[in-house]
Amino acid sequence: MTKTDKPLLSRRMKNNLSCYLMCGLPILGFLIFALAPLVISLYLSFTELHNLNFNAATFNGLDNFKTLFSDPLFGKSIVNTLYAMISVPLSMVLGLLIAQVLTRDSLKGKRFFRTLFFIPYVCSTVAVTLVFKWMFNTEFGIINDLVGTKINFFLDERLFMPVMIFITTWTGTGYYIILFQAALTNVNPSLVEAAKIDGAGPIRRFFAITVPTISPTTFYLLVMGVIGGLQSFTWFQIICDPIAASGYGWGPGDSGITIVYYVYNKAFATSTGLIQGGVAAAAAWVLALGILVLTVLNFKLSKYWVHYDS
Amino acid sequence: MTVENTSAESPKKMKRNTKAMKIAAQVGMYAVLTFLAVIVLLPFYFMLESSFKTYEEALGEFTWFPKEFSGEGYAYIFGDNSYHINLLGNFGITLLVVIPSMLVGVFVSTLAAFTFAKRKFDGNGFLFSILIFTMMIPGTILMMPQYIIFADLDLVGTVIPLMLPGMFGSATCVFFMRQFIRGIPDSLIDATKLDGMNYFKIFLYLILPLSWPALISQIVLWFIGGYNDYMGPLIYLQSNDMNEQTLQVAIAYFSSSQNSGMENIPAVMAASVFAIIPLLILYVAFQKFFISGIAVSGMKD
Repeated sequence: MTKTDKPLLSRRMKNNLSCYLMCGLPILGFLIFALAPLVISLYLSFTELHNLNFNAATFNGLDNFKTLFSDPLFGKSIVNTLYAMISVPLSMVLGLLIAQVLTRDSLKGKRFFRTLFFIPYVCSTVAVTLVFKWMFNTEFGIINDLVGTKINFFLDERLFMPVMIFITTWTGTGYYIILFQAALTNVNPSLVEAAKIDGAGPIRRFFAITVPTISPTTFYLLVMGVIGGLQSFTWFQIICDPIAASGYGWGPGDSGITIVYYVYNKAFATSTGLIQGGVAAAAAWVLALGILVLTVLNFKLSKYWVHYDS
Repeated sequence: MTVENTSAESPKKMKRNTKAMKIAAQVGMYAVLTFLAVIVLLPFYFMLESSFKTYEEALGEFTWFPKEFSGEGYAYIFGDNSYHINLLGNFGITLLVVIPSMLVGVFVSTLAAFTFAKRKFDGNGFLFSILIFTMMIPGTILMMPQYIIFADLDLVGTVIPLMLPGMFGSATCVFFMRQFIRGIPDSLIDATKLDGMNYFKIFLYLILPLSWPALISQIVLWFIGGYNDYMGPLIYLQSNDMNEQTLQVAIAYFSSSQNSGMENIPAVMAASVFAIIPLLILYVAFQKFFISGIAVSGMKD
């Protein structure tokens, strides 16, 4: 391939060009499906838009943000989203404990349990939601039958969120088990032995050796968990849309409206019939900024507890 | 849990004690794991059990077993019914939406991953970090503007908005495959270069065959993600005709259409069973790849 006369493109340029061709599509995808929508969304958040037709958008300054912050439903959606996020630390702690048990050498059937615990994560959200709806049914559900009550979990303002947290924890824990189990294989056994000889008990060993060793994984899971948790939507939409259709609000007393559900309602207005695209864009940007702030905070705090050595 | 015994008992007794403790701990552990396993499995048992009940029995007092095994739930969703639900057709639409973009997407992502992992060029680090940045952008913010773009192109109501973005690859997939391909020794690549292969051929004949475990795990993960996607079809296939929807949305609509206290529980549960069977088969068949795929995605270098 070497040419003695001066080529049109230098070797370096040729190499660059061939590389850009090979990795270009995902980058192009980023430009079309992420960057362009990002810019459009920023623009729309300062416009009034009633029918999701880009050309019909009219500039209205900060009105959308004013509407947003004076809308009690938006405030409610923030509170609900944060409340629902309890399932993130919950399934993390549960996942770590189970992973810790599942890494014991003396335990037989580890793979069986691991396989089993991961099933909920794989399964279709819709199917799982429907079966839980049925299990928590007031009249004929198994939960009420076992407890001997007739509680309507999905129409009780206080019980609604705990049930949702239970469902999301039930689904999510398997993922944390797998990742923590992978991380736990990095724990140095000779270090554990040395600590044993020095008389450190299991709890002490756990916090002094295991926790620092797996901290990069914990950190990754925390960051992704927060980003995902701030965007909870599907469960709430499937359960709350029928409730909203029968006039009980977005979940009982609006206790099921999350930020993304709010954005979805403003943008696609399936049941209210009133589209406020500009408000939806503004709400999405407020959420994005919230995610950014929490993620940056997570990274800043990480240097106090995440150990990348070894 | 082992308990360190520091009291002044005789060593023999102490030994017996710790042994008993160990057995007790072992039994306790199994008890807890079994309890958790029951919690995990119960909804599935319940789904299956209810799907075989008769309509009347499901809306009667709760029973652990169907009094008589009935196929009427299944007959309802697959046969003629007032709702005209056709789950096999919905399943076909799901496959149409997922499989082509999955195959193209994984191929494109792997090609990019190979380039980022093994080639030196200007902007490698910068372009790769752009992709990582994509992973951080919340999907919520892109939802409406993407819709507006597709609406402007008159593509809402077709499957194109669901298929097209994936065909450009996915950042997560590039990230994962890059990790894997970095583990392939450079000496292998140099050897093929001496044979006169260009990079695209090296990718086709060397990298792809060597990456198959990672490829399988990415394909399975992609499939499950696409199969379970709810928001996408909900927004883009807003048709009143449920026969043009994907399986997930069709089932959700089917259930809520019944939501007036007279729900046909066996039919809804039968639909749910139908929806998760393909996932369970895939999961059991590809479990190993699946779990390694998930596990590696959590590791950072």
